[in-house]
Amino acid sequence: MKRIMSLAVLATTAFALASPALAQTVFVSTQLRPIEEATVVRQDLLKGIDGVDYVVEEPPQFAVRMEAERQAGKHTISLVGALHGELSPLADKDQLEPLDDLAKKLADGGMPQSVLDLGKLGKSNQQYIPWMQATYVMAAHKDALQYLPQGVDINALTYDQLIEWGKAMQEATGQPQIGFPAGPKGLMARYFQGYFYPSFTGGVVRTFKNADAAAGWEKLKALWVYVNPNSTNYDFMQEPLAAGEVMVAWDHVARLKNAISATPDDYVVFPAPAGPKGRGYMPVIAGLGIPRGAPDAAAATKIIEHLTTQETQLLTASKVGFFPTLNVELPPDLDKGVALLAGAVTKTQGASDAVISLLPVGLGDKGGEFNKVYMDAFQLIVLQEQPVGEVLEKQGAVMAKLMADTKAPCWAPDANSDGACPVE
Amino acid sequence: MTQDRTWTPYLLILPSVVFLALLFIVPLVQTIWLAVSDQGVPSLDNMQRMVSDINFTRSVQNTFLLTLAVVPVQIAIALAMGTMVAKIGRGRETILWVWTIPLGISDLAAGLVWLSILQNNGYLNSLLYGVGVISRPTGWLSYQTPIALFIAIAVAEIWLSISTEHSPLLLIQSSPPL
Repeated sequence: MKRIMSLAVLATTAFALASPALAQTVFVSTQLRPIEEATVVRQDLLKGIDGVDYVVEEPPQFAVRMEAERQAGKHTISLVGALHGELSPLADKDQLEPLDDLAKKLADGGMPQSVLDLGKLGKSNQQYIPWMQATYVMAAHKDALQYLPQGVDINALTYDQLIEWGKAMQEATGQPQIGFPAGPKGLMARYFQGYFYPSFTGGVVRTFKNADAAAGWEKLKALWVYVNPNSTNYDFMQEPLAAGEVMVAWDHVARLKNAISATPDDYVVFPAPAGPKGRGYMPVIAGLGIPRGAPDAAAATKIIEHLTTQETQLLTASKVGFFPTLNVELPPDLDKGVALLAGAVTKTQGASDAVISLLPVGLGDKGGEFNKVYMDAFQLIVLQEQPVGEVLEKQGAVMAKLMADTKAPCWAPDANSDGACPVE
Repeated sequence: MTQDRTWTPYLLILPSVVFLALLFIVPLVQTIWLAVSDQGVPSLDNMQRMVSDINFTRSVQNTFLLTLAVVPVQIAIALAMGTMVAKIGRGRETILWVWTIPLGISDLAAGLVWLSILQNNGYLNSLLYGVGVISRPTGWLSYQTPIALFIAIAVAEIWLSISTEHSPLLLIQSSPPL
């Protein structure tokens, strides 16, 4: 009896250790991480493709894992899905397979060349295929509309009008009603890089500390009087919006989706305000790439082709709020909340004074430090009320050093530069 | 025979020691090395960066202030509670059990519980609003109310660690006189 037991234990252990032999295509993604979204990916978006193991990773762990595989030379991941900024360091280390054939097929199939070009990450080959896109918009509860100043078009707000609106709401309700995601995991840094700086100065790095920037910061201080101070705790604006803590919010479309989809009739969604130099906005691109040395590149290519078909892209939009990169008409029976968000996205991209601000390129893994320059400036100027000029000088020096260290050339909306992007 | 016996205890605890060493001590040493090196060369750059962060000085000051505020209060309360419970005959176990509940709660869970009490639409505000003390939800945890924020953290911290302070002091209190 004892012998049989020990044999049985030995056999089970052997089987357990041998089972990884089931070859599955490993698809690692930093996007669509929450369990509900990951379930949508596995059950709906990857339907029809067998043998895919969809694994989600937090962005820092993703970077570590890719680096570990590169250094060890042992590759287990066949397909990666990540943000433009997370694929950029991989491309810099030459870790992604060129996908030029696939890109050509998609260009013929309806993906705009301008979007595909973003997938080159500044190099000559296609590094990743754009998978989904999103941007940032503002949302307001309909109760807030009664306080909108007379004659103001909500789809063409200026910062002065927003401040007046905020003032009216505060006087009527006794509380500041505007909210920003300035919490530790909030996307406030993108507000500064994609909305604030382009709108007030027409640039992102070059114009960091010029006179337009100083004027912009003063305007933001004036606005912040009417912003809920709890904003420094907000990571996702959908929660405070749904809870009624704020009536007007700025955030990523996917971070507003839950509140808006729950009660779409209660909200209006509109583009962010315009400053003296236009209406800045930042498109967020998530892409699919195949790591060099991937165990199953053919299957990975099939998955990319599947995820970039019209049907899957529309399904993605309706289920998780990330919009298609293909040129597709959104169907009229789309989820009402997503339709509202899509409307605002179109108005943002199509605005006559739109200033596009691209995600940083060429910063490698110093993207976090780049964000920190803006967030530190925000903390010092707006929260700690230190003199604007001094703070901009100090942070400008930090920015200049960062650009010199990474040798990153300027990107839109800054004019091109030879060599590292200067801070003027 | 006796030689055999002297090795046995060491061999028995070897697995757990190896486990701890591999998963705790080795990463600890590696992390410390990471903190004081830069690309494999010893350097204090990282420390320099940490110290010159815009919020570093303030964080250190706040931590010391919090310790100064919280530890004496914890000890005083724990001593008081220990003395009281030592004098109780019946119901002592029940009281002790209730008082050790915070011990079984992780810091994270306790933080979330206190957050749900103190946030803008939390229980404290509901209570105060219902009683009529405030006319609209007040923020207790924002950067504009640093004193309320400090007190909130101190209270949560004291609540959580009363049981950890409490148990040894109780033991002292309830031990028979020498």
